[in-house]
Amino acid sequence: MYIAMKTTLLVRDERWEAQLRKGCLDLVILAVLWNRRLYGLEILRFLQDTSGLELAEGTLYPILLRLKQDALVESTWVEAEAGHPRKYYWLTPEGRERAVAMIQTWDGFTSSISRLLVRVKENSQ
Amino acid sequence: MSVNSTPSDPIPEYLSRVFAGLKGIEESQRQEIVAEIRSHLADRVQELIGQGSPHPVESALAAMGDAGELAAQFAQEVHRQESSRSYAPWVLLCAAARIAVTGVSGTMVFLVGLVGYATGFGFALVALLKPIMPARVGFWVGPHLFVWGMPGTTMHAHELAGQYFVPVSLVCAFVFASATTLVLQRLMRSTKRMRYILRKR
Repeated sequence: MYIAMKTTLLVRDERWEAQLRKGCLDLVILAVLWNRRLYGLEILRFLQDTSGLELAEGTLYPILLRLKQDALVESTWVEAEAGHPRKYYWLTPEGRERAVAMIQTWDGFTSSISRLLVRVKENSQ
Repeated sequence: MSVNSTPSDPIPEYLSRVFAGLKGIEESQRQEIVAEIRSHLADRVQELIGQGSPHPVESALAAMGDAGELAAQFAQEVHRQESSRSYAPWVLLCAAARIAVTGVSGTMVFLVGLVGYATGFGFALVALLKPIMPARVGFWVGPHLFVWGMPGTTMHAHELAGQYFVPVSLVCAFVFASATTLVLQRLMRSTKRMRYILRKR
């Protein structure tokens, strides 16, 4: 019984964390592409190296497609030394505007939550 | 376009399954999506070989996930974009039907569309039937009756709308169809089936 409850709580924790991270994906990719032209695998590696975050490979490309459809990123195929072309992405002016707006929203939201959590942390210690 | 793979490796088969899963999408876009996955897999296999992986191809494919699921994510993004720009009820409802199979929120979007358009269609239908069957169609109110349309029996009931029945019905049909279109477009943009996965290392 205890194990079952513990498992349920863990699953709920994972779902919550998944939802939280899912909501940030667009901002994460726009931030990675800030001032950079990168292809898919480079985006994943840059994300890992700079933030420690790992994005599932199959998840990245549909998001890039959506961002492109929304005119937030642009792309072009470039012949590479590796022997096959790579599709490079960069931010459009609209993408930069959206990134700035999302960052402002993010800052406001996280500072509000942090103020709320300070009291919880103090009481839980 | 080189894939850096041997004839026996499963990459071409994987790409074929992705391509097949993109059915209904414009041919050039299907090819571009597959080309990008092919390019990614080629890079990933090379990277894994460099890392000394014993099964680089299999590992690269496993990291990309199921081909059908991947294609479904692409298709959903394309269809959502198409439908969010469309004002055609049929296009919107078809897109909602595709989203309906992906989860509870998708099902809710479809039901909102179905109920909204069905109601609008109902109002339009009774407006068309009124001139054909003026004695049967109307706004009927009675002891156990409250019907805008064509009840089974009109015994002991009174028709209250009179000459206003057709114009009011047409206005209601327009309002329901328009509101449903706007709501569907909004829901299509906001409902995202993003199978996650951004996980902390």
